Amino acid sequence: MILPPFELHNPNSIKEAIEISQKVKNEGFDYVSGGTDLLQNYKNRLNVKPHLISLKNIKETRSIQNFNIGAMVTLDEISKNKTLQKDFTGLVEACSQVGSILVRKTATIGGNVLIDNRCYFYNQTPFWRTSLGACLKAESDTCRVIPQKEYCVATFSSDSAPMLVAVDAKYELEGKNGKRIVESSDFYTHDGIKRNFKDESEIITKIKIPKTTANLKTGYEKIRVRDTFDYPLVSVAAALKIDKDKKIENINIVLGAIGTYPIKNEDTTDLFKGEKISNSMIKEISEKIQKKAQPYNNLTMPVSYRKKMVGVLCKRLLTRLTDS
Amino acid sequence: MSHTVGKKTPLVDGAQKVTGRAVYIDDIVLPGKVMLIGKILRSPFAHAKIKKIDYSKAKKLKGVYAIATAEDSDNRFGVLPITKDETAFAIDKVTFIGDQIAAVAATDEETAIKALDLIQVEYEELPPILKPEKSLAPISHPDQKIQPWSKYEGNIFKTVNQSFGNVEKALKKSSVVKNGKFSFNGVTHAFTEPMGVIASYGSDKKLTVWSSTQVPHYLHRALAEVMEMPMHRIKVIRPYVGGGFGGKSDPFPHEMAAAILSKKTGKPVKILFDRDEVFISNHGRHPTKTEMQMSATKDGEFTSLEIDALIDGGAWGSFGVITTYYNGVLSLGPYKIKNFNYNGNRVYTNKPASGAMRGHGAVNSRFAVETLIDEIAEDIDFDPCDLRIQNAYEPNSTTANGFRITSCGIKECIEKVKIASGWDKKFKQMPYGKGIGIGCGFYISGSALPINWERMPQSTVHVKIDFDGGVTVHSLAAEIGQGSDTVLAQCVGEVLKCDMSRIRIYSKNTDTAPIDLGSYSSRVTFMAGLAAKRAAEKIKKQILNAASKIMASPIENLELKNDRITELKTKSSISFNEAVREALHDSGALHGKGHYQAPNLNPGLPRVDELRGKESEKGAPMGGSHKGAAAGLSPSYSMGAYVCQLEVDAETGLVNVEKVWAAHDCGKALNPLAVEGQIEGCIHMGLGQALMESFDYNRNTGRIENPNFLDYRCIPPTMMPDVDVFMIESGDPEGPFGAKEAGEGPILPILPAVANAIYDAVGIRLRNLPMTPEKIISAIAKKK
Amino acid sequence: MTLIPFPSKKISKKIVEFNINNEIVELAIRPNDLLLDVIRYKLNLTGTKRGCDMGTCGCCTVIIDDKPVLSCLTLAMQVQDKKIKTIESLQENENMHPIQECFHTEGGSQCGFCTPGFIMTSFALLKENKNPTKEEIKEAISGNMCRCTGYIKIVDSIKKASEKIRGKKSE
Repeated sequence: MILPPFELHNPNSIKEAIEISQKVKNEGFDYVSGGTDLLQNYKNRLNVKPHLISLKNIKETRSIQNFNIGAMVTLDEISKNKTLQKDFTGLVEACSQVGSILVRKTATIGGNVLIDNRCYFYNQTPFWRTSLGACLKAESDTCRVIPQKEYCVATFSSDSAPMLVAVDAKYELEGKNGKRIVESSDFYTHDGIKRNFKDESEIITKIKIPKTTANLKTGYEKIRVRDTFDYPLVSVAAALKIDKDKKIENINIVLGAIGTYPIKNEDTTDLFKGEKISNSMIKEISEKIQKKAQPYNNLTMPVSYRKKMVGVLCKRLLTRLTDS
Repeated sequence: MSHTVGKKTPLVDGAQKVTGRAVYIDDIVLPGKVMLIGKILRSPFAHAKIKKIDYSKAKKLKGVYAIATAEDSDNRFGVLPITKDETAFAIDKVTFIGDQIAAVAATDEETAIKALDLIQVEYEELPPILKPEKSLAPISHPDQKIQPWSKYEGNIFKTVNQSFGNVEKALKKSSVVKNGKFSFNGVTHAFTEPMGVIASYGSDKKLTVWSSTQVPHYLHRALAEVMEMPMHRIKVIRPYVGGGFGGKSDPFPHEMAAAILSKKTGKPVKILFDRDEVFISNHGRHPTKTEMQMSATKDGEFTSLEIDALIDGGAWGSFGVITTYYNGVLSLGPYKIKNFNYNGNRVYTNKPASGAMRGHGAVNSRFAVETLIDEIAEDIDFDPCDLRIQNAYEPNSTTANGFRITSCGIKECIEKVKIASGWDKKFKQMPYGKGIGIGCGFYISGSALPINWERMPQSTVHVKIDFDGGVTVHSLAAEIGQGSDTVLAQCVGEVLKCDMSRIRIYSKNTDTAPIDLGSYSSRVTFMAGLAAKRAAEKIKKQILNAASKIMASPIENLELKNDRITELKTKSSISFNEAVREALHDSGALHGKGHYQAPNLNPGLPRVDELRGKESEKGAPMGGSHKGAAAGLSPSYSMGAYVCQLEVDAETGLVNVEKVWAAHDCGKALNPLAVEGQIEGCIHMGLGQALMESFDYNRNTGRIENPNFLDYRCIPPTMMPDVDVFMIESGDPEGPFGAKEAGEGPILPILPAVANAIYDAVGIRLRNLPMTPEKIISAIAKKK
Repeated sequence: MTLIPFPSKKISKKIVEFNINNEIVELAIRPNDLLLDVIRYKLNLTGTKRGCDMGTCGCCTVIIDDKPVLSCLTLAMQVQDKKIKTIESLQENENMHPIQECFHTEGGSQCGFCTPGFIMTSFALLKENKNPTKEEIKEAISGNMCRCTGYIKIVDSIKKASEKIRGKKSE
């Protein structure tokens, strides 16, 4: 499959990239880092822009310094980072389960937190979508999942983002109006098209992880049919802090691949703070979260299964973290 | 001691492959920048009348050389001469999403794609017929007929009714009767190389077609019919083929389109599929609904088997007649079942055609048979392995429908895996979640009745030796990765006892190769292997005659060994080359021709009757005289038994297959490296169909839901179990050096072995494939 | 039915230098040219294969700066200053590279179409890990797809190759 035509820009710095973005903004552009996600969509003629600004030549965002991860660090590098393996195992677990090993060698963490939402009616070839009559997220004004829906319900498919949200990580953005730092949990919209509150000109430069994360037990569980290639059918990220008496000091559980954004569950988990963690409590939390979870029918496994797996994954993950 | 046969032999074309030098279809570069790129316009509707095609705008686009539609050709073709229902381009109506409407030849891919965008087609949509049950019903309006020429009622493509023995009577003496409704989603080949074709119509009015195909000969025939050209003006070249598994064993419309476009433009035209087009072309395993009933006495004697199969053929016939028979008759081994009823219907639906895929026609019914056997065993308190052994055929038996079983190592297979797996200590004794299960298989070694009922041999091989002492072997058996070139080299090398480096295989070109029907129905080792062996034997005679002259000793005293000819009494010897040169003097290159024709076929069929006694064979006659007696008839049958051990995660439904013990009776493993590779590959593919592969269609539109490798899931390396392979060598009396097939049969046992192991692990019986996690957890929940 | 046309935009070619298999080549390419297409169609290095076009088969794997990369998802213009290595460069004298040899002798290649991709992935693995376990090999090749072998003989081939390479080194 050939790619549609576009101009490619290869800036050497963030600043230069943003300048280019302002020159071509009227025509439209995308930033591209690893490209493993975006180029698939481009091949399928999905929301192709006339300009592509490649971040590959930018050196300043390529390192891991303590808990600041440059956005251009690859998922494979994160999986192998000794500090993160020790102090933020959940992120390592999440990143090492993205796509296939060959994808992870190229795909970056910045790209993964911004990965396009996926839907069975969207991630298809032009011929397929022609035959379908296209969908809300690309060429049509009708959602094929829920025809009356006014916004897109494509599934949030990042593996790393739920984990980052669970530890209250921040994203450093740089754009035409300068730098800013946003809470990862406030970053995502509920719309499968818009996806997040990033200004068009902005680039994620850094993932900032709170230092306190090292004191947490973090973990990530994902259901997929194959242990490679597959995007999550449902995923759970958890960050847990329990004291000596096994009392919960802090608990965050975030679901991925259920809705259009990483779903936090504070309403449920806050109720258990200060209580002693037990198998029965884990079961209760898991059941409550499962009950609330409402997946859309737009991936290749039935909704009923994915909903059920929310509970199973929660239970397993919390048990694993408590026992570790 | 054997010379090459039985030794692990790396593929003779392997060095080219591992160095990246092997030339596949998309690697072909023709001299001069003359090649045009062809692209195909496909139907977005499953069922619609074509009212109008307007390609005037597309034709005007710069860089477009030609556009072809049904105006250019309306000749029908199809792999089976009795069911030719395909055309190069849809005529008047489209019958599935992806049906080929027009094709463009342009300077490059981008121009060709843009030209497709400019072709306007007016359709009148018809309600698609997607459920096979619906296709059984009579039609009330001619528009509902998917393929108008079919002689059956409704949208039925083929009906088979067969009955042997007396099931009713058998049931009376049976103490256990098990039945079930099974359903099998379609699966597809998923070879890694997309199909592609280059056609070049020359100024000499000759046509050359390169195609990634398993059946150059059938393509040759179809091209002749579609292009209305005599076969001698057409040459088909098969480059290296990146996997087939049955998916490249039909002549295809895109091959016709390339030929038509090349003739129109006078330039070579290449059409290379995108991955979604490969899925759209499908020809994979038929989605099937099977009702089956099996009975046995309390002493463990199988008494009867009844099968009712509804087979979803999609929009074309393909190999469908054969599929319809195979779903029944291939269940008549390896167990003695004397009373049998079969009712099979293959129907047309508005979906991409189903066709032949590894284990063609046998896989789904085999799954049902083998799981029902386990249910019977449980009821009458038999060990499943012992029950199978008790009912298994002995060598030199005849099945209820007249299949002649010669070599037969099924009992040995079962015993082997039973012991190797530690069955007696595991079955029913492992903790909840862990299980072990057995399954067996039975398959043909080539079809005794050729597709075209002619007196032409099924395989012919030429062997030639010239002054350089090199042995060239000419055949049209298609090397598609299974190692057919290597096995032919071994068969020739074994006879001539020469160094393997002397032997070169030419199997790519219809101009230079004698006809071979191609690589399907697991026929090559048996049929082409025998032809190669016979051709080499003729050469050997000429060489020995020459040696006899040089050494002044009768042939009986000469021995050919390791590239030398030795006089056994004097121990003097001459080299292979010396003898060859002597034989060449005054005559030129040595030629040997060998062929294979199945022996003594079904006497009931008039055309085939002429064949009787024409080929001198030691084999006994085979086949009955009932209608369809030749279907499934093979000169030999392979069989096998696998044990599978696995763990089921009862909460997520995910299955971890830990280990497979696989015993397959291949007669004689001519190349153990290739036989093991086939068995391991079969397990990979069978596990996929058992657990995750599924060719999904939208229920309302007939659109394929997963035309890519992300959503059509094959087993990845990380999920492949360890496999212990046991090659059981029963020594086939007729096969080359005792060999029979090992390419397709080995897929059969793994699917039921998995299902039976899942039952052992968590006590559920799933009857719908694939056994996905959600089906597994719902079944577990239901049981509780 | 909604027509989804191929977008039109005039773009021009640029002369670009590549370092491929230790050779510097100059090519006129377009921004939307994929590395895979440049390797196959412009440089005629057809050992690198196109299987799925979407990063799910690994047939197109090449080595870029010691890393295995899916060339079907890589823009040619993004790798100008990098070292690209394809299957054609592995053999350096009359003998095959040990990985190639082992794929050949151990049955790691059947139809051969996925083989160059697997060999390049293995090449990168064995650079990084001289003595990988079976599990590490499986993990390393889990982005490559083979439909013939069931992967078993591929794993054997890589294992054998690692032994061979280590053996040669210690001599």
